[in-house]
Amino acid sequence: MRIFRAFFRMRFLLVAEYRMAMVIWMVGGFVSTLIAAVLWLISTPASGDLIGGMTQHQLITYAWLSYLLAQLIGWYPFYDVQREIQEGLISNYIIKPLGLWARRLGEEAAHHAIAVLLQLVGFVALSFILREYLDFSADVGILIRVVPSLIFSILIIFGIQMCLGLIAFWVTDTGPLYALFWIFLSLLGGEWIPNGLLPDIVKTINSLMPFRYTFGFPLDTLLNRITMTEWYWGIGMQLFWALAVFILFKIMWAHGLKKYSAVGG
Amino acid sequence: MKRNYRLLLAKINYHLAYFYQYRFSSMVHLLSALLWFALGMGGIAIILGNVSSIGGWTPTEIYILMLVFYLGMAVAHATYYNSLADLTRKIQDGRLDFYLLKPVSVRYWVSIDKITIPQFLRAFIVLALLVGYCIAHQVTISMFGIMLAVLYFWVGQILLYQFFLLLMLAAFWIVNAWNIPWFLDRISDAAELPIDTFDKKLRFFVLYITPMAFIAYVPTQALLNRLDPYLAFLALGLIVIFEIIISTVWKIALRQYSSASS
Repeated sequence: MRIFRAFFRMRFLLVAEYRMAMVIWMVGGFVSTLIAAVLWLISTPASGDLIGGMTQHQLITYAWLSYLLAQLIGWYPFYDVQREIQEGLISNYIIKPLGLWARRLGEEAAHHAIAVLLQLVGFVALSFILREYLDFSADVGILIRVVPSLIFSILIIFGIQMCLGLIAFWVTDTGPLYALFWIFLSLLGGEWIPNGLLPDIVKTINSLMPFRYTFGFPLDTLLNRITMTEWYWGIGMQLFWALAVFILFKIMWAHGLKKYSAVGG
Repeated sequence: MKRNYRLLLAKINYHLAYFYQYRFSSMVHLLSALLWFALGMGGIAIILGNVSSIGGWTPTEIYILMLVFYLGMAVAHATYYNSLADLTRKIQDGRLDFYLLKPVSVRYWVSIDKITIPQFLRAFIVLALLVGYCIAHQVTISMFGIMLAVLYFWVGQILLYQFFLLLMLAAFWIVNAWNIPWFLDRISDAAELPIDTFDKKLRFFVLYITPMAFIAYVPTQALLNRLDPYLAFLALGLIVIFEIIISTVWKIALRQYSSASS
């Protein structure tokens, strides 16, 4: 926990200093969400007919909430982990009692603490622009259910990204693997395409994969689009995948360190 | 002009040699780029699996629009995109000094710095898919339409280059603006949509503020023989306006640039 706090503080100060990059993330996401809303506006009927079990307004609301959750859940330490291994920077840390998981978790938490604050500004602006199309109401019960689903979502994405980063111990060019991860996350994760729009067979397979439990599951919980039974199943799957990626990380880290050799230092 | 051409050839030769030297890594990058392309097409295929049209455009027209968009992005990535994206780093670590010292136009030199051969291959693949798709779906295209589409495809590329350079010039003032290319990618999402269905404000944004309409929408309209003459003339006018703005900002930026190293 002390490692987490120390790196949280350090990264927080760094990100606060170079905050313009954060503003660019915020504005870029804002534009992207507006474009997604336009896509749903021009491709779905305004009459209230259902597309993938959702009305036009629900689809736009989905994109709107997805914007907020993108910074809240999207913890992506891949590039930093990969760069540290490839450039030998990791040597500075493996000789000290600093666990990679806690260190990166602290840094990512700091990054997202600032990012989410900025994202709220964009979120308010989006709420104003899209106010005619939003169809959202959440009671306390829903909000209580959303919190654990968000925490597990973060752990799953963070864990997968950490494991992908560790592949740099064995592979020089991890680009295609990372691209493959993004393809699955973008198509099946639910950040842009709601789960309901997927073909039935894909939906069934997806319900067993980790991607479903990243963005789509908390979004569906927030929009009250799942029953309590589905929610229990989802939380169970989230717990399973969060543990699975953590164990995988531990195994990869132990084996990777044996393989690792640094130049210089 | 002749010297610039020779420099371009030298750069291409250098990057071809690099491509052959690190051919496995280069092919891996090509694979990576093709996977991103597959992602975009897969996403739109899922949406089209649920709706019959997007903004009145049939699935065939939408796929043509998407393929033109990906062709445009592949050409941009092959030629100037990675060069301009690297401008932030050049400014941050002072490497821009080495470009300023050369007896060539600095703007030209930083724009062709990183020609990416695998992206050329990606462009050829997407072009082949576009031609194959049009033939397979018996899309009626006239020779004039093809010529106009090719012309406006390159006009769109010039506008995209100008807009991207204008965005990247912010790096002279903003420290750590490494995610500007990501920002461009987000804005360019709009270029994948049929822009004629946008409302007035958004149309203004993608036509006059950002030239996203010209990357894929205008060439596709030309290809399908329904190009609005207003857009055709607007594109040419925008090139002139963007050029004036960039020249002015570029001069101001270089004047206040102070080296970070050396």
